[in-house]
Amino acid sequence: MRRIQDDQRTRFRPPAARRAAICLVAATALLAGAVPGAELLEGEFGNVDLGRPLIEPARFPTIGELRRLVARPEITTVLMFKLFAGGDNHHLPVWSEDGLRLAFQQSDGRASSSKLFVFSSLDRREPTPLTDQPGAYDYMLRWAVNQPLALAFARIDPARQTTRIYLADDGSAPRAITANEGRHVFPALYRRTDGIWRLVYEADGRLMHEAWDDEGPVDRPAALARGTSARWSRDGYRLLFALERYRQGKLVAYDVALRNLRTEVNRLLPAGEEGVVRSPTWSPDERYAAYYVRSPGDDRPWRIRLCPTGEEGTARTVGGDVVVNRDFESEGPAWEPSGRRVWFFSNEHRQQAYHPLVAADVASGELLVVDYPRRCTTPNDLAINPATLVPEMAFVAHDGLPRDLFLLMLNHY
Amino acid sequence: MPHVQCPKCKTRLDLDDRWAGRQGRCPNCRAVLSIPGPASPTASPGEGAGSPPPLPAATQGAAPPPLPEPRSFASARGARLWLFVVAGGLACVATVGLTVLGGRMRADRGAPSVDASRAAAAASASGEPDAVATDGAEGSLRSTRATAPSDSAAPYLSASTPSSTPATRPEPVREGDEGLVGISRQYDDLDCQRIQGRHGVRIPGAATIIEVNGLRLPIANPSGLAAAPAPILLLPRGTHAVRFRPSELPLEIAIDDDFVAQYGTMRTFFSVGGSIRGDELTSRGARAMDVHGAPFLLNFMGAADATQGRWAVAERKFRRALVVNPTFGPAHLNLAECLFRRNEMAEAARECALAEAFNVHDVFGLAAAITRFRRKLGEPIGRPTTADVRVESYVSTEPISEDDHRLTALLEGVSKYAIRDEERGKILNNLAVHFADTDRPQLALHHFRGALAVVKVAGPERFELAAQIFSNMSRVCRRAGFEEAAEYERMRHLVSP
Repeated sequence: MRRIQDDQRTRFRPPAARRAAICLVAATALLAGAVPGAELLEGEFGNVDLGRPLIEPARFPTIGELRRLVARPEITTVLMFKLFAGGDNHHLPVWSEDGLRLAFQQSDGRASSSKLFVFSSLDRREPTPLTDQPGAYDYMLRWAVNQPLALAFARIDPARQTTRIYLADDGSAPRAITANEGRHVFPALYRRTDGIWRLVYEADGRLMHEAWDDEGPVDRPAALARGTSARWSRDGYRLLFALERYRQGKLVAYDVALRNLRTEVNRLLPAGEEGVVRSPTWSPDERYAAYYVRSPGDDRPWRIRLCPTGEEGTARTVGGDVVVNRDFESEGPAWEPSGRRVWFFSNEHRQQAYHPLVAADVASGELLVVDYPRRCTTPNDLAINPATLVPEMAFVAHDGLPRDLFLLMLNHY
Repeated sequence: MPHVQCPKCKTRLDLDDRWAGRQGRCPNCRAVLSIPGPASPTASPGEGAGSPPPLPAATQGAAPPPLPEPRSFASARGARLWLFVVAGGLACVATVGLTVLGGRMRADRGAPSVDASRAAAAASASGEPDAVATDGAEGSLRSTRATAPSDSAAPYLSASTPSSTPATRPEPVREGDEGLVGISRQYDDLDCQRIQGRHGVRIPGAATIIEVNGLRLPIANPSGLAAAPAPILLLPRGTHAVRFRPSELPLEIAIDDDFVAQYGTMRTFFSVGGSIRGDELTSRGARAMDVHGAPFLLNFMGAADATQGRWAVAERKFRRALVVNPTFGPAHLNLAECLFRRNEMAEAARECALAEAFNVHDVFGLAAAITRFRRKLGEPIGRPTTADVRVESYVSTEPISEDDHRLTALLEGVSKYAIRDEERGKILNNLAVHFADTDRPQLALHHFRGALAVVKVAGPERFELAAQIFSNMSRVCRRAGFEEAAEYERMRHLVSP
């Protein structure tokens, strides 16, 4: 009886070749379960862990997968992850000019306070608070030109009802630069190679200029024009800004202007349209200015217009009904590093709460719509890393109640 | 003729008169000895380096290999005190002992040997053959003519170690702390970075010109230099007015000592110009995990390869030196020689022009060698030509496609966000694997080094990861027929906890 059972067992046992095949399939399935679809090259490490919650794909891609992605002709998502979620709302990520640092703003509506945070190195799990002063309201941060470790920002002093410009250099504690009177906002900081700092900011509607070095002021503060939102050129001798236009003593509109600090002459750029201008921004090659503009009146949609910074050419609209940050006005349209396109979110392309990315080609005006994982809704404050060959984009969006900071990498421009 | 018996191993030594009153090391046990007799009126530069020179080989006989230094200063001091009793000159020996102790401590900290620098500078200024001045520059490639290939047309392969600066051999030091044990830290990469920093000024990314004391360097794209990890313009001793933008003020840069003297001392240390201490260079390379922040050691390594006729390997080393600091004139001239040998005349002329452009006030002592090289090329003398520095051209000569650029940008970009250095190193290793897999070994090795640069500051896993990366590098070299395969195998074994 026993032997018969043994025989039966033997009869149903798979032959050796089949057993080997089953083992192979099982081992493959096991491996595939560990890293689905992963085919590693010789010497390649698998199971790379960024240490951050990935939104898409679920695991870090292999070299084989990345090769296929970069070869695709259409622009598509490679990787998206949440960079920071601190429970409060976040705004306006801004890259340093070397693309190795990212600063942003965190607001607490209940406490009416706003803090600035800096990823002084992007491998940090958490950003560093630039200040931790209770009750302070810090905003309008802007990295320095020619000094990737320094940034300037505005701080509201609620007790004295003043707003001053502060400078934080290389991780040091921020120090006040402007006088403690009036409202000083929209800082633009420039560092010369000889160590002289130059700051332009708006002081109650006037564009002011100050310069100093380690030993003290090198120039007396001077008013340049009535205007706001100045930006330095790379050579430090031109300023792009919004110039106030008055009619019969009343402010009626803004022009986009260029000031040459050598000749001390303002030149109006051919904006071609009267309206409210916000945040003019140089293109990377400084041949164009991009800015937000809307017609006078409440609740008019914002558009992005481009105008050449040279003597010739005319302005044109490249994006309609764009998403702007209504509360904080410090950042302008996002240029890709080559200067070929301007990127934005637009209500014209929204699909309920999801806004795809839109890129406007500067030369042709053609619009390109690029999708990304739909988990994030109502995005805003797009910032493009100015130093990378492939798109590396930071923006804020909802993934739950608060507005968090996200990082999106695309396969190419 | 002074006679002395080693207090430690009791070996009896008969020495030349020139050793009288000086200190030396026992050839048998390496103990420090004070030799009785009147002191020599001029100290040897080697003494200034903080470590007594080995006693002459003629009196040593077949000396056994040197043993590690005494672990503590106390034991060395004890030996000296014993000698003091014998010599009966307590005050004298104590003074010498303190001097030596101070010198050793300086050396251990990586501080420069002031005496050696002064001696070398004095030798240079006193009308001796411009040993350090010309050597230091060409230096890297300067080795004995006898060991150079017979078809050598390189004038730099002729110099020997200057007699005024006898070789101070590296002394193994048992530090017992982190990293590699039993290896001297003198002139390791960190030390070299300090030397580089002390002798130069960093060129900012915003530079549109480089002007030193009113003289504009004929460099077409100064801002491109900032792509290198250490774009430091080396300057000679003195105070210089350096300007990086035409409309901005010059900076005042003070350099305390001569780079050429310092470099000469380093050359002597590694026996560049003689039988180059390749093992010492390799061990320092392993300590740095093959990632250098100063070009000096790579230039010496290239010189070592060149003297053995391994010109392709030497060229890759010189190129790596220029990736680190593209203003380093000696590596430009050495690379020019490699290109000349490959009959790449236009490129050789360009490298020669760059060597001349960065040889500010003859900081490298290269002027004579550049003139000779220009003559060899048939180029006009004394008419500097404007040259363009493209750092990426030193990384590789292999083709790179748009997709490669994208993949590189993607992986380098995303690696920035890895919270753990180990994971970042893995990502950069994988990028290198892409180039290895597509038969571009130079690019693969460059990116493997990028991975090592991250891994070297990682946590406890760094040794295991580095060993794997070195293994990958070795495999890439073997497949490509690069002779560096064995070097990376050695480094793989050298990097261990």
